[in-house]
Amino acid sequence: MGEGESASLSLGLEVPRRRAMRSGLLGFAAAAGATLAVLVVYPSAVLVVQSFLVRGHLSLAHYARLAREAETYRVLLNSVAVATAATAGGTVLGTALAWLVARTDVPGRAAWRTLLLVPYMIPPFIGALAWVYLLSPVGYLNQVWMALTGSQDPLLVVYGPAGIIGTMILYGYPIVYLAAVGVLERMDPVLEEAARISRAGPWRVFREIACPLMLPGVLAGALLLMMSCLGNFGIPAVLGYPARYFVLTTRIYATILNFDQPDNLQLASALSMWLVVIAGVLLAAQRRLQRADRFAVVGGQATAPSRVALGAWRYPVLAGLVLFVVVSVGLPLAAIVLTSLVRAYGLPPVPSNLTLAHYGTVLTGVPKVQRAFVNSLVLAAGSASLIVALALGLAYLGTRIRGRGAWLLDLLVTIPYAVPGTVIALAMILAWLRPIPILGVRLYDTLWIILLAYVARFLVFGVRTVLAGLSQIQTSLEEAARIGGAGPVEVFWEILVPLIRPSLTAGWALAFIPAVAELTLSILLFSVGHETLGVVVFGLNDEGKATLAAAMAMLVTVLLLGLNLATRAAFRQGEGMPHG
Amino acid sequence: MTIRALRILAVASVAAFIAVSIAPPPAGTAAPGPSPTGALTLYTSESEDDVNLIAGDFMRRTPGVTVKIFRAGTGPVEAKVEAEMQAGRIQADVLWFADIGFLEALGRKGMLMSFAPPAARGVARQFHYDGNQLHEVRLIFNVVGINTRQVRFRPTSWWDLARPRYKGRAGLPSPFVSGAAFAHVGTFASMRQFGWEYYRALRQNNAAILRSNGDVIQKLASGEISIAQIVDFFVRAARADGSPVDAIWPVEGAVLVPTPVGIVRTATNPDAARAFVNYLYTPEAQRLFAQRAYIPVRPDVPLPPGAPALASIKIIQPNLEYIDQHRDEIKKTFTTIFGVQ
Repeated sequence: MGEGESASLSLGLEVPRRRAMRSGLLGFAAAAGATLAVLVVYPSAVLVVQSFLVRGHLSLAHYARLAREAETYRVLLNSVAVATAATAGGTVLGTALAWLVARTDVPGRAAWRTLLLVPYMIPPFIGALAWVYLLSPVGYLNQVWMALTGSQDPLLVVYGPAGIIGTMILYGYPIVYLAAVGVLERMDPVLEEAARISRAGPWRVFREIACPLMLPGVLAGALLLMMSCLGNFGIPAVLGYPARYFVLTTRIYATILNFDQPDNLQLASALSMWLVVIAGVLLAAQRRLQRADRFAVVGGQATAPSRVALGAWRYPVLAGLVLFVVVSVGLPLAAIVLTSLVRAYGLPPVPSNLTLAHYGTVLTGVPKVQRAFVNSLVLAAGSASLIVALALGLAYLGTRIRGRGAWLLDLLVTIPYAVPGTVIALAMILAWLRPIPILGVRLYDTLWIILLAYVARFLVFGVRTVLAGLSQIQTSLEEAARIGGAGPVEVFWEILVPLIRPSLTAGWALAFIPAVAELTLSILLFSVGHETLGVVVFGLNDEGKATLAAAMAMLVTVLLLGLNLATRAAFRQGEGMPHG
Repeated sequence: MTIRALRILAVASVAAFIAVSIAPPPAGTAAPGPSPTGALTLYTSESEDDVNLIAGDFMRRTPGVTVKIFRAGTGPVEAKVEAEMQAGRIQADVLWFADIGFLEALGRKGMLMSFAPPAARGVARQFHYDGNQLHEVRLIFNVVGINTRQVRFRPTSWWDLARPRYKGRAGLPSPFVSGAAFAHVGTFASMRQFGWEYYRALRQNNAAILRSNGDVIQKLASGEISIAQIVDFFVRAARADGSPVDAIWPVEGAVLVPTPVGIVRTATNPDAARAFVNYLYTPEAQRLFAQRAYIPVRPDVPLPPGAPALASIKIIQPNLEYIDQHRDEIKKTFTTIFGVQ
C-alpha cells in the first residue's frame, strides 16, 4: 500500500474533449486499451469461468460444496467481522487524529502530520511480525509484564481476531486520516468559529460541527479502509495461523496450496467470488457516495484556517499523541531491531547476547536476499514505468470515447485494486499457468507474471494522478502550438507531457513504493530466482530464522521509510503528496 | 526529475527488467560427457541455508553449472510440481523433499529417472529406493525437542507431550505443511502403542499445531512452547547457535523421515542432474551435511556434535504403505481431532 491513496478510487475520466485524438496517438491509445484487456479482462474472465469447472466440465459443484460446508460461512463471517471492526476502529482513530492535527493548536503540528503517516509506510505484514515479537505469549512486552508482576500468564496475546483487528487499525487508520485531513483542509472554518464564539468547548465543536461536515469524505475513506482490511493477507497470515483463525484471504491461499484436493484452484476461484462480491458492493457504495458528495461548506478556497484552542487539554493531548506514536511506531520498530540483534533466538536481549552478525548474514550470506532486492526494485520500477505509460494512453482513450464507455475504463482500472490481491494473484495463475497458445511462452514461473500483477494492481494510483494532472491544463497552450504548426504527436510530447511532468513523476512514485515491499501477490506468484523482498522476509520467518527475518524486516522498513519520506519531501507543497 | 530523465529511467528500468527476467539459457540438448554445463533447476523443501551451502559447493566443484533453487515447504513445492504436471511438464531437473509417498507416486507414473550414483559405493542399499529412482543422502528423525530454560526434568517419551505439566505448552508442526510431520502422523496412527488416541490426548492437552518445523523451533527457542515434536537437526543447529533447546531421543524410538532426492525423467539438463545427485554422496558433501547438524549416510564421515551414533538410535520406520493407502483418511482424521487444516 502506498501513501497516495485518497478517499476515492474514482479516476474522474471526464477529461475535456478538446484533446481529440489524431492519427499517431490513436495507436498509442489502442495499445493501452489492448493492454488493459490482457491485464484485467482476460484474467477476470478466466477466474470466473474456472470457478465453474469441475475436472474440465461446467458445473456448479464447487459452489454447492462451499455452500454445504460450515467452514465457508465461518471464514466469511471472520473476514467480514475483522474488516468491519478494524474499519470502525481505524475510522474513529483516523478522524480524531486528523482533526487534532488539522484543526487544533496542538503543539508540533507539522511534525505530527508526517509522524502519523509513518504506520502507513510500514508494510502490514512486517507490522504484524513486530507485534508477534512484542505480544506473543513470550513477547517482550509480556515478558516485562510477567517480570514486573510475577504473573505466570501473559498480559495480552496478539494471536487471533483481536490482535488482527488491532494491527489492522494501527497500520490502516492513515487511509481515513488522509481522507479526513483532505476534507478538513478545504473546510470553511466559519462554522467552527461561530460555535466557539458561542462558547462551545473543543469536544463539542469536534462532535457537532466538524464531524457532520467531514462525514462524506470520511465515509469514503472508511470504505477504502474496509476494502484494504478485507483484502489484507499478511496480517491474518502472521497472526491468525497460531490461533487457527482463518479469513477468506488466508483460506483461499491455503486452498491454492492444497494440491491434494482435486480442482483446488477452481475451488479457490469459487471461494474468491465472495471477496469479489463484497469488494463490488463496497466499490458501488463508494461511487454512490461520490455522486451525492457535493457538500457546499467544503469550499475549494483556502481560507486561512483558524485553530480550535485546546486550552487545558493542549498538553494532555500532546502526551496522548506521543504515547500513540510510541506504541504504533516506536515499540514495533524497537522490537524488530532487538530481535535482529539477538545472537540466537530465545536468548534474553541483554548486551552480551547482542550482535550485528545477522545483518552481515542476510546481506552477504543468503543469495536470495540479494536477488530479492534486485527483483523487487526492478519489478517496482518496471511496473511504475509501464503504469505511467499506460496512464497516458488511457487518458487519450478517455478523450476519444468521450464519456460513452468511460465507466468501463474506470471500472477496469479500479477493479484490480478493489478486489483483494490474493484473488488477483489467483486470476493471474489461472490465466498464465499454461503457455500462451501460438507464442508458446509461459509467464508463470517468470518475473513477468509478477510484473503483470503489479501493473494491474497499482494501475489506479498512476492513472488517477496522471489524469488529475492532465485535467488541469489549459486548452489554449495546445491550441497555440497547433496554430504554430505542431502536429498532435508533437503537441502531446512537447507540450502536454512536459506540462504534466510533476503528475507523471508523482504517479510513478505512487506506483513504485507499494510494489517494493509487496507480499500478497508475489507470495503466490514467485518462483525460483524470482523472489521479492516480501517473499524473503516471509520465507525466512517460516524457516525458523527469526533473527534473520527480523534483520531483513528492518532493512525493508528502512528502505520503505526512506522512499516514502523522500517522495513526500520531493512533493512537499502544502500537504505534500498529491492525492488524486 | 526532468522528463528526459523520466524517460531514460523508464527505458532503463524496462531494460533492467528484461535482463533480470531472462534466465541463463537452459542447457538444451546437453552433450553427453564428463563435465555438464548449463542451468540445473532444483525444487526442494530443504532449509535455505543448507541448500545454498550444498548448491554453492557443488557449483564450485562443477564449473559451468548454475543451480537454480525453488525452496518452500513440502506442501507448496508439491503444489508447484502438481500444477506443472497439469500444465504438461515438471520444470525441475531434481526434486528433493520430505514426502516419499508423493515422490514414489511420481516414480510409478514413470516421471523419475533411475540412476546409480558412483560416489554412493559403501552406502547401505536401503538408502536407495524404487530401483534407484530415489536416494536418501542424509538422515533426519523426528524427536522430542525441549526448551531447556523451561523444562527441568528431561522427558523420555512421546507421551510426555500429553502430560498435564505441558498443557498448552506442547507443539507440533502441521502435517499439512511439513512432509516430515505428515509421515510422523501417518506412522503413529498406524501403530498400536500410539494410534489416534495419541493425537486425541495431545488435543486434550491443548497442543498447538504450528506451521513448519521452522515455526516450531522458533517457538521452542523463544519459550512460547516448552516441548515439541520436531526434526532433530533443527534442534542441534539452534543449540549450536546458542538457543536454549535440546533434543530428546524418546524410548519408543525416533521416527525416520525419508527426504529422498530424485531426478525428473524429462529433466532439461539430465547430465547436470546426475552430477548433482552423485555429488551429494561425495565425502565433501557428506561432511557439509554433518557440519549443518545432519546425520550423514556415509559411515566414513564423522557425526555432527551432539548426534547419537546411528547404531544407538532406536528407529521407528515410517509406515509408507499405510500412509499411501490412507492419505485422505489421515488428513481427515487429523483435521477432525484438531479442527485445523
